[in-house]
Amino acid sequence: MTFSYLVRRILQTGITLFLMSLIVFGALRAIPGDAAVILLGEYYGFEEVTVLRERMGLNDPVYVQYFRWIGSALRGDLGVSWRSNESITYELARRLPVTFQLALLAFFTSILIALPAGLVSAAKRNTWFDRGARVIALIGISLPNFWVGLMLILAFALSLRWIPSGGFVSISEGLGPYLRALAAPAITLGTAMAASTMRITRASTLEALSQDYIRTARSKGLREFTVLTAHAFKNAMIPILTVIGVQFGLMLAGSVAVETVFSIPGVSRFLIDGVNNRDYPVVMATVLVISLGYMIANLMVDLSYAIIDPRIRYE
Amino acid sequence: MRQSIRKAIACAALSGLMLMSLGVAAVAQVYGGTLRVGLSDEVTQLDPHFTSQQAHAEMIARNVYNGLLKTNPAWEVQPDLAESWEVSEDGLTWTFHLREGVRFHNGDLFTAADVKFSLERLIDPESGSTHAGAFDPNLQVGIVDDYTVAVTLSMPDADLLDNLAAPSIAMVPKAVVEANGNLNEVVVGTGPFYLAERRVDVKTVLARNPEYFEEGLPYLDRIEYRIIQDDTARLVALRMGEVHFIDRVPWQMIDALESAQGVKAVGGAGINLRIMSPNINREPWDDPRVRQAFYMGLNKQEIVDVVLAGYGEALLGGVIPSTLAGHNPNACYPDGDVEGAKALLAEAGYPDGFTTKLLTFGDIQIYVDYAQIVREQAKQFGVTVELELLELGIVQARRAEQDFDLVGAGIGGLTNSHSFVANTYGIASKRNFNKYDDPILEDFLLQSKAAATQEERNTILIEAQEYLCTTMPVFPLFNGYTHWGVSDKLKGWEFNPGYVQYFGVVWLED
Repeated sequence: MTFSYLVRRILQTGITLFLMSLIVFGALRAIPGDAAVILLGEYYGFEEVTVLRERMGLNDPVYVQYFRWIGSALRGDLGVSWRSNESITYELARRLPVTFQLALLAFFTSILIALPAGLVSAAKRNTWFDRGARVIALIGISLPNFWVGLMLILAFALSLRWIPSGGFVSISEGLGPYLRALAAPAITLGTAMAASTMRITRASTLEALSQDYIRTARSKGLREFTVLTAHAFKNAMIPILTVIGVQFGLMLAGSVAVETVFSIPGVSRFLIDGVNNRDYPVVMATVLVISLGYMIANLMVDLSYAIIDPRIRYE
Repeated sequence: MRQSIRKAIACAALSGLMLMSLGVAAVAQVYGGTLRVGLSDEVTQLDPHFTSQQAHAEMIARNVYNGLLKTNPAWEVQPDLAESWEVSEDGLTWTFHLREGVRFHNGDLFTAADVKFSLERLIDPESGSTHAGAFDPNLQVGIVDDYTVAVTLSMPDADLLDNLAAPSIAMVPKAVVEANGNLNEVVVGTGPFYLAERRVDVKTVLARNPEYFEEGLPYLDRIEYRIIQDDTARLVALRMGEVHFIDRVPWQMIDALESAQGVKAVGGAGINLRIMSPNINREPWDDPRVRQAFYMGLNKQEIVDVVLAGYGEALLGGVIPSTLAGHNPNACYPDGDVEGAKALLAEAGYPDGFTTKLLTFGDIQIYVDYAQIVREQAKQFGVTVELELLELGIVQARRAEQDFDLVGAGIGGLTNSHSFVANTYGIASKRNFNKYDDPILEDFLLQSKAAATQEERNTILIEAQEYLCTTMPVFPLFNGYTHWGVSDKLKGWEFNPGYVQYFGVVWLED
């Protein structure tokens, strides 16, 4: 991997972000309806609209609004929420770590389930274990997050009282309460991810198992376990990593249902509240931050290819 | 049938009152403890003067600030920071005598200068105030002495006291606002609680103001507002005892609350109205007989029974709900009179009915539900209603451009009777969606605004609604009930029709 490759990727990321900002800004302004009126909601009061339009800067031409926005965004100021008047940069700085921790815990949950299950499924292809695991994975993909979350709340919070009904607890308040609060959301999010990771692990390991070098390894007299983990799995990693990377990126935005059901103050709830309230500065900032996270996740995946497979080089 | 129900309600209310008086005698208030409240939405605005029908924000304001006046759970005006007041003969000058020795949370003394500053800030839209429309724009505030202010109006206003008693009409510290620009960061009031901690989207914590001017109050040490958006999660939190009080209990969940131990659902008529506006500049809605026929044929009680499982009241006599004085107890027409509707439509030249389109919010369930029932009911008197269920922003845009046959709307957040009629029918109002312009009604509104007493004003408003039954520019449909989930440990709390909850007089029992 060369330094110039990294620089090129970072430049690409910058250009993509700029284009994204144009598209998102344009799309938001193209939505029919007066943003000030919409922001005031179903029961808006007539005196309030004019004042609000002025405060929101909606009386200026659209390009003026865009340049004003991008100008301050480049200086690190993502503006203030129309709805709450709070600084968006400050809000995101508080919410990003929360979402990131949730995503990380969900990520480990999903890996712990998906990799062993996928490998065993591939090794014991077409057995009862394999069929069972695939059915469970299908169910896992099909069940909506919010439903799984509610079921976990009803079972483990209301009936068994093992966990609180929701809310985020910072790790500084102790590891026990922290894990109790985040266990159910992480499992909800993790199991949904595990399903597709398990399927790709199984498929990609199966393909690796049909290669010539596996036959060679087996004929060397290696144990099946070693063949599976050291030879097949390692070569099956590239597609698995790709899926995991994409999923990790998606989790930054895709945990809306989980953050809502479990009352977790994360980024995706911020985005959805922004969308629901037509709080455009919030939507703009959040979409861009999430895209950036997604691009970073992808870059990490690309870079890790080279570590896993020394034949891959980036020029 | 109706008679017997009324009797049953009267009996129940009477025995309830007797039990309550026994209860009040038997229990002693308990000091201390943290009241935990589960809210469905974030409090986005801490400055009370900037709240825009965001009931959650007003809920904080009501516990942190005081107004000159306040309302009790029956919505009657009571003294607060003003101990007494009198009005001049011509109804134009109101003199308020302030409570002495009240201190703000920062230790500063509350005086007439703060009142003048607060009221002037409130009536000035340039300040960012969202409540300017509630007051006479020419209102003048004079300081008579440190504890007396004179409020001068350009015309009499029967609603002045009501409006001054609203939770957002808070008396704020002049010095603090001048130093900080607003009250969003530094929150200083005179109320029973002060802001102790705030983490957006997580919780807002209020703590007991030990210097509060009402002796012995409040009972609670702290109030913790938590944000729990999901309805089921909020209910579970209440049932688990994690919170003592939750808002927005959907009627579908009332049974689940009633069957659980230690908690209950408490509700009643609030301010949550749904109406429809016909386009009176388009055929056939330009004919008042067609409008009368349509309204007559709709069965409003059936809509309430189906859409809200009965948890609401049908609006039959006008737009002012039964929760407010000025409500018209007489129905405009018999409810669901299909034959009457057919006859009147025939008289207006539509013996075979007509086809029209109902435009309403497809993304708010209650509008979708009632639109479908209206469509079915209208079939019975020969009117074909096609539904246009669209997104909120589009509906509002088309509504503003008069691009509809029939459009759905809601009324909420208003607390005085005059504004219900003025906002819905007055030509000056942007919520007069079909631009109904009627000099007779405008005259009623002028009289109502200038009425010397509320009784006089209420009589005028009832007459105005009776008159509107004949012109029928708007179809009032129903007023939904509001339900709260309440732990049995919470004592001293009473239901009020508004959304704002005052916790200065409640306590927690073990």
